[in-house]
Amino acid sequence: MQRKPLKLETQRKILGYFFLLPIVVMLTVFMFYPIVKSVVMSFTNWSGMTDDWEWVGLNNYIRIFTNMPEYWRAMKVNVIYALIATAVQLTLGFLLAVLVINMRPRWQSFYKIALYLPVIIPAAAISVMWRYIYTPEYGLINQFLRAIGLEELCRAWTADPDTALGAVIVTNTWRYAGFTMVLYYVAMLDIPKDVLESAQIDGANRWHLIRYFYLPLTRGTTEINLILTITGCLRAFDIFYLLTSGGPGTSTKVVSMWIMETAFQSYKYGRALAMSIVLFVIVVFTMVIFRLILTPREKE
Amino acid sequence: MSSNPIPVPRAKPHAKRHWTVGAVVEQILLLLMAVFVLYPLFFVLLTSFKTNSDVILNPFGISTFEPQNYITAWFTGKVGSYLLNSVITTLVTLVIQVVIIVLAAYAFGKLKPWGYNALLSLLLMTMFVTSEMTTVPNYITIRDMGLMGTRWSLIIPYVASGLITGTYILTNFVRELPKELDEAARIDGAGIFKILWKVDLPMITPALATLVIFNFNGVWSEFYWALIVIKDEALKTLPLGLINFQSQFTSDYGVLTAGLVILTVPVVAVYLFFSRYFIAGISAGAVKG
Amino acid sequence: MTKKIVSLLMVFVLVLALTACTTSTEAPADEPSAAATAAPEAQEPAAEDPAAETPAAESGSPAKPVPEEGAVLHFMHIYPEHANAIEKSLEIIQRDNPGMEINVSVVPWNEATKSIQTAAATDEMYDIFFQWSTQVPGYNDIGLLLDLTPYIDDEWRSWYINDAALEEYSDDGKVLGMPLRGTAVFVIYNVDMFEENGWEIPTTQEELVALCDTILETGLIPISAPGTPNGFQVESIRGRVFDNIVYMNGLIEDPERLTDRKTEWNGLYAESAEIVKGWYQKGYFGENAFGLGREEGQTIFVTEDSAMLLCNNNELVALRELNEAANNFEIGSFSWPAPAASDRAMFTAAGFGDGWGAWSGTKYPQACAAFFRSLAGQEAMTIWANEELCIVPSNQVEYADPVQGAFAAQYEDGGYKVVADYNTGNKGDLTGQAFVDYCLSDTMTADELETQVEEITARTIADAEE
Repeated sequence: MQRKPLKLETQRKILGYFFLLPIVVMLTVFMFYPIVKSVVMSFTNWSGMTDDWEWVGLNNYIRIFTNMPEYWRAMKVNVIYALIATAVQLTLGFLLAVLVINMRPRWQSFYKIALYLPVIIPAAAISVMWRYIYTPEYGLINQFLRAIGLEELCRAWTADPDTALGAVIVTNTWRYAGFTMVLYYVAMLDIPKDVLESAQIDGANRWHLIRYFYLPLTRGTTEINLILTITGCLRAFDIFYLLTSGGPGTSTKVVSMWIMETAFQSYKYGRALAMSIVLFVIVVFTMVIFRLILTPREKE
Repeated sequence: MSSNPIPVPRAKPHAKRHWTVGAVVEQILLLLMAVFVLYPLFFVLLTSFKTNSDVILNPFGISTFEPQNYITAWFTGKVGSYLLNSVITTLVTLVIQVVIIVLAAYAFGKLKPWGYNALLSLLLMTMFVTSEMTTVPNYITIRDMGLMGTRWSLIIPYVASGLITGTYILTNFVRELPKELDEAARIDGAGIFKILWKVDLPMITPALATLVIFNFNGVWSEFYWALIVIKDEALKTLPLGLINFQSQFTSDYGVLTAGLVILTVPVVAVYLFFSRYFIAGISAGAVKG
Repeated sequence: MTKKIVSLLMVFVLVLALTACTTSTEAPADEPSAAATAAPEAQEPAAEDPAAETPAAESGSPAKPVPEEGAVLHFMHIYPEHANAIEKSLEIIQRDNPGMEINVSVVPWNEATKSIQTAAATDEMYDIFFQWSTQVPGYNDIGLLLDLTPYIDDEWRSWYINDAALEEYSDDGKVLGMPLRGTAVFVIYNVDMFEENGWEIPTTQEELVALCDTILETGLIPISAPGTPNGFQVESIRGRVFDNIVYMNGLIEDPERLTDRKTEWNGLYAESAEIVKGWYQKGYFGENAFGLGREEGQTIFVTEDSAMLLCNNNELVALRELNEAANNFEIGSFSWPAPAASDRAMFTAAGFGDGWGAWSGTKYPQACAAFFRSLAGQEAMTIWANEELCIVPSNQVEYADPVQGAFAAQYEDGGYKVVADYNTGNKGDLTGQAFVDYCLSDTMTADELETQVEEITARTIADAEE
């Protein structure tokens, strides 16, 4: 860096653009271009299979908003799922991080590894193990309930309309709570220990520490966790596909399943793209709202 | 948030900690959670040593011991021939990703060029793109770039797919970095790259380690893109070998889970390795700076 | 757009027919030269059927395909578990067609359509690919499928178990794919248990119901029936019950039914659903039927917690293996019987759901057809039948396994199978889901279900023809 008459601050800002060049180029080519292309094709009747297509104007969107009740029913499932799963996962992840960070170092290493392991397990393995946990006749939960004499509580967990969504939420929490926990944990590492300790000496209990230190000082991480989780839930596919296939009946059928069926069973790729884009807009909108609420205000 | 914590070398951790009722309760809660999390994993491990019939008839016990599942999985899944491809692809992807992410996060979190917040919001949109939207256009782009039949047909899209989440997470950490150290270094005459390399990078090591772990997992186990792009046997990656274990009407769960365990072990190893860097935090940076 | 495709296809077919004719008349002259460059045993199959080539010389009639020289086919399948049969089939195909090069891609069965979509959209389409017969009309609507009619000579056509096998892969009067193997639901029963208790194989639906009542009293589940996903085998049985009702009401050959376009059932659909829901509620399938997948259903059967199992023939291998590891009793099978009032013993609705398609844009249509011809021959079909225990659409195969042979016998009468002439998309899933909703609901009536199913059908048709 040569020192020029430019103000240092200006220099840094210009350098910032150079630093951003690679990511902007990559995302423009491999993300924005496909988005634009998808938006364009969502106004067509493209089958997804051949080069033949015709413009159909707003038809696909009109269909979604006027004559596709199943899409909105599924959206309701997604929203309920997203709200509950996010609340559970964030609370649990945060509390686990608080607990873990106050452990002795040896235990810290153990828990941060143990609790994170499900995140790295391939989906196929998750489906095998959770099927044997939920399956009605000889599944783990029902065996346990029978063993402790609560036989009347036994049920087909993933095939009972009352519990199917709950079962998915439990598995999802199991799978991703460690992810949330690790992000919080890493953020909490940056809270100076002596600040916490002097507060404790001043008589602060655990709740005070959470209220006045852990929670406010990890707000950026809360934003990230919240946005990643809630938008992940709104777009969820594989966990539903593996556990319930949308059933029983259509009670856990999510938006992504309809998109897949429209694209790959009905060969209405144009319409599926329109459905994807409506979902995309809803998700982006959710993100923007959360960012407006949560992003730390800066004075600069 | 203006309240950037003042970097103070950490006091000796837990020097005066003793077992209280609360601590015991906390320990028990965490242990229960660990059991809840680890049992299913133990179950998968157990399954990988059983015959298929034993898996289905006796899912929670073990009456057969079938370590040859691993041998079968190794050969059926062509682990021997695909392993190196997976390693190369993942390593190259991660290196490129980390460089791009660090630069971007530094720009967003520290340099803050005009309009950076709007730009970040715009880029964040790409986090929510679905595969239905990207697969076909990206395939055509990669082909038109003449990259089909090379490793780059995997690496470049993989790099692109992990960028924004990584940048988003890292930006948050860079933003919280204390400015005082930067300024001190600048007064000492350090250039911006030197500050980035010597002062700031060490302080975000935990976050960077987290990122490497997240992205490693994503790239290592990616399946569908590799399936459609790679036709050359010499370039195939490990997840493609898993195809050989799954079919519509029959599945050998013993061999399948053995294959999944083989696939997962490197990810666990990477996690174990990088999670060591979770310890070094701001204080580490303060010492080195 | 459709017009454009249809006219293009017509021109294409015309050109193909012409080239097919010319090449076939030239074939005897051509073949030795092609064979000379390749392995010597290649002459054998050519010499085998000179009869097939004589009628083909007449213009317009189908002719035996002769692969283009230097043909390279990209072949996609979903059968890693049948790697043995795939490999041997390819050997046969390449022996019959010397010089033909085949590149193989395997994809997981549940990614098949997605892979085809990406391949087609990026102009890297497979020449020959796996397809379910139900996909034929949809693929045909978008012009994806090669018309094989010009290549299927009389000899080839005579190898099939019935006309329905090729009709299942036909649309608009053209053969657009090849059947590979059949899938249909059967009742598997525990022969030892039946003998010990003196239970008889039911020959009517009423006898089966009475038997279920008897078995219920013993505390066993009469019929283990996996109901996941989308009502799976319970829904299949509703289909069988429905077929019988439809037959007794004289609608089995109703053209609207045969093309899956009927949207007015006047209570017949409701009747079938009501009967099966009644059985479910009485416990014939166990209270958790809708929570059971294929393997859980099999487990209940092999652990002798149930006397019977609803199972499709492709599961037989896995079921046997499981049974051997458990109690190893004798397994028998029968088809879901018709009510006593019917003059037919049963309907199986058996068809050949797994099969192949060739891409309309292939550079080597003749080679694709030649590929299929070899695959449909006795040698390859016997491998699929006896080494992989599939039920194949061939009448030239002797099944070594008696249970499988009994299954296969029921496939011969496939004429009443519903074969839609439009893209049914996800209709099957949706109607199955509606049926599960009905079975699990306290408030939904059978008539409401019927209305829902009729609406789903009407919507699907409207969507497909949009």
